[in-house]
Amino acid sequence: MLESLADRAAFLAQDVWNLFVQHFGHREWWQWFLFFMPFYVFGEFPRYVLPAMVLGIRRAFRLDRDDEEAKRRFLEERPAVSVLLVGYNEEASVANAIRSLLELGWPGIEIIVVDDGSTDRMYEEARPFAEAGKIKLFRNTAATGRGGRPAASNLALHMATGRFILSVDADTSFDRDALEHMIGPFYDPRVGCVAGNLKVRNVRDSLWTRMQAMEYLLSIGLWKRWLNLLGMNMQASGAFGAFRRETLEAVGAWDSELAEDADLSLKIKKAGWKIVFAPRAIALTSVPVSRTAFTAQRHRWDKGTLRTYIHKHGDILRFWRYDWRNAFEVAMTYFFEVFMTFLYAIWLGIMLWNWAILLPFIFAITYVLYAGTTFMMMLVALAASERRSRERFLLLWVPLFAIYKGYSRWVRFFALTLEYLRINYEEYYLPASAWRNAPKW
Amino acid sequence: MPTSHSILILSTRPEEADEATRALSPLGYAMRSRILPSAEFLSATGEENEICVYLMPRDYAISSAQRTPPEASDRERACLYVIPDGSVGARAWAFRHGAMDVLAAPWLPSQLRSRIERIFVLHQRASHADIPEAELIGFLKACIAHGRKEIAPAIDPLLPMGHCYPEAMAVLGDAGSSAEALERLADEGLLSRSLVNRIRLCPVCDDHHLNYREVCPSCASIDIRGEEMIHHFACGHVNSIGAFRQESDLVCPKCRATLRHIGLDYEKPGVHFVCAACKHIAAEPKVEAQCLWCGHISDPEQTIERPIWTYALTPLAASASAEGRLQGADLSALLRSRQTGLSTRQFFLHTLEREIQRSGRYREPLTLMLVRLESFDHVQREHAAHLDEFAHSVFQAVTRGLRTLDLTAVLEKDLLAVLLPGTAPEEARVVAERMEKQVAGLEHLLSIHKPEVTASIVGGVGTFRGAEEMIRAARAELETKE
Repeated sequence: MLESLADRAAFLAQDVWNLFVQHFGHREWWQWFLFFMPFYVFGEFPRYVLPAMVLGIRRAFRLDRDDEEAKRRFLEERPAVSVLLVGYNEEASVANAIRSLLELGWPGIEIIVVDDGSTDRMYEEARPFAEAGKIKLFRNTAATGRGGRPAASNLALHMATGRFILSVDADTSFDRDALEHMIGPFYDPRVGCVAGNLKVRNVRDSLWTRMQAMEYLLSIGLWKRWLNLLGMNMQASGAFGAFRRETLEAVGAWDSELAEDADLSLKIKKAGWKIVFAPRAIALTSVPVSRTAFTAQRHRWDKGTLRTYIHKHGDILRFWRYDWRNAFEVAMTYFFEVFMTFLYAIWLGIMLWNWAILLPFIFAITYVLYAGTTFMMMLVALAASERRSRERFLLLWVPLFAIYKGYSRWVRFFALTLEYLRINYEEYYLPASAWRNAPKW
Repeated sequence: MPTSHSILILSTRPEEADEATRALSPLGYAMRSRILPSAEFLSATGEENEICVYLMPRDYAISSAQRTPPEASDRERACLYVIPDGSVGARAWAFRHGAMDVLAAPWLPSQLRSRIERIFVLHQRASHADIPEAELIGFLKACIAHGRKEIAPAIDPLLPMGHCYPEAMAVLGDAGSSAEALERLADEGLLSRSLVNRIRLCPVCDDHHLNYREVCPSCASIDIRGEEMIHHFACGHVNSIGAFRQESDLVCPKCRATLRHIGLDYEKPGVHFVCAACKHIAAEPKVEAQCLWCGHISDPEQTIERPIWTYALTPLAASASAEGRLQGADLSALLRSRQTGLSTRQFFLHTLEREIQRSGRYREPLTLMLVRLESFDHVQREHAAHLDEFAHSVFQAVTRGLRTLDLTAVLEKDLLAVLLPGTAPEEARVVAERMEKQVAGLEHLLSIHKPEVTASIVGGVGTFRGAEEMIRAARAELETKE
């Protein structure tokens, strides 16, 4: 019985090998290209692996540097900082976020909490802090209901008196020294915006949160460091971003957009300001725990990215008008996030039609390469991380990361398709009042 | 009005002193005047029970006088300052320097007289003159004779508390004295209280003339006004309505679009406050309480809350009236206080004396525990309306779990005594620890004040010869725990 099974397996392996040799033995170069289309080798390898190698070398030889003396002198002035914490139905998390902000210990810090017309007890949760004089609390009482995150942020900004503005989410909490690291880079007068280092708080809640924790570690902790070196950081997250007040006022602060943080960042870049990443300014945020919630969030992000980066701010590609680095990074983003996503789907269709039997080999090889480089990048990211002892366990989950990215790619494919076809253009993120009036991109 | 009071007029000019003397003569008090140079003016004081009227010269430099530190005795002086101007700063200065009342020049004789009469009322209240028991009994008798079951307050804005008890004043004297007398009768269980009003008083002068006003949280300017905000839907811009106004139109300063229709183009998310002095924008203004009497400005939380009660005669009042004495009106009241539900002080001391004798004779252990209610004065001062609830809850927690044989009484307003017959001091310590935990666990009192007790334990077998000695020893031990 066993011998029979072993024989059958040996025959199958021989068949597959023969097929492989036949197919690959006499192919043209473009067919090779086609077979290895999962753009890992041709695109993602230099895009992600090169930064990981360079950053690893810089760290090993301690080449990372900043003008610490100028920064120290700047911080000694203790410039006035206003923190904008806006939210809708955040009763569960707003008090924790406020307590965390109060721990920042920045003299004269102004914390402005805006309840954007919540239907839960968010206002009541924040009210004791306002009564104690620790925060400024405002509730949107408009007859038409909530105004959306961008309008609520603008309202908070209107109340703010600080020279620097920190925008945070209600489900975010902060390291005690986070503000110092966020404000420090403003010693350079060309810096208009600072992106903080967001990490995942609920990392152990589910497989999805572990995957997102790895993604945050790579895409923020590693990738933004790399962009810092090139002066090509394009975005500060709305959950943890700091702004120079004059920058915000110059670009008109937040617009009513689906990805208002990306939109604001691009406006800042187009206006000629620098966006830098502050790796030591660490904040923890809660990410979606279930697949459904994760998919919904990514769906919105992907739509917002296309709408903002390409449809609204596509003119940033005019490198002769704006900084060529902006054009390069946006072009890269478009190439990998949009073009390759569709190309991958087309490629898969061609392969399934013509050479379906080869797909398992291609995926297997791609998977091994992807997992290997992810492991290597995770090592570099962990080496640079201040919380490496708590994040080390994520290495165990590296083998699943490629599958997670594969799933994310399909989520993006559907989101982008809907966006191009203008299906479900109006997301719940903004209220009907904004959709009715805001320009469509 | 007590005849022992007299008036001393202090002035730098004889003609001003004469003018004041003439104005006050209709009141019928004994009066004298002293003429002093400006430099010695404020340091002069009168005799005990003498109301001093300081007629400050028109050229008196209050700014230089401010540098003179007020003496401790100034605080206790019953005096009226007649100041050259009635500005808030000058009034505040006068009250800081010990004035019981202030009158700004130029004054009318009738104003001066009414101020002096007010000082007499305040001074009597401050001197805590005890009303004799006979007068209190007389008051109860009068109430019963007239079939009056309740003594309700009447509003009188001129009095510091803004309320008085006219029926009680007719028998017991001025507003302050009669209110104190009613409180005493209530403490004795002869009157019950029901809350009818709650007033807030200035923490400096105990007066109810408070002006609550909104000020800028940044610079405390009163020039702060509410302004509507506008949220432009299309671009998300939010700003004051003033920033959108262009003649009769509303134009978005960010995208230059004209806003035509509320609910479609724009919305008003609320009102914010703008300070005209420092341009500070605040979600809510700060509220402060300005005393219109002494000029002191305080946070609303710093003002003193006072309950105003309607008093009703209890059954004990009839027996007290019949027996002609306040305490011991009936046998049960002799053993157990109706107000606290604990043993009376007299019964407790009597039992303690007996138990000490028994302990010595039969060689049985005996322990006395004194339990002090921490922050009682604070609760009495700041949360008078909740005092009964606070004290009652703590009393219950202290006595919970005690044996039937054990006896508890209120020794002083913030001091309980617990007698534990047949209990050694070591065993009593376990009881004390449990008691402290029970009191600390009264979470419903945290909104009033954190409940806390400190206990001292003395005892043994025939260690003490008398109740007084035992209580003294327990007090001494309690003091070491401060």
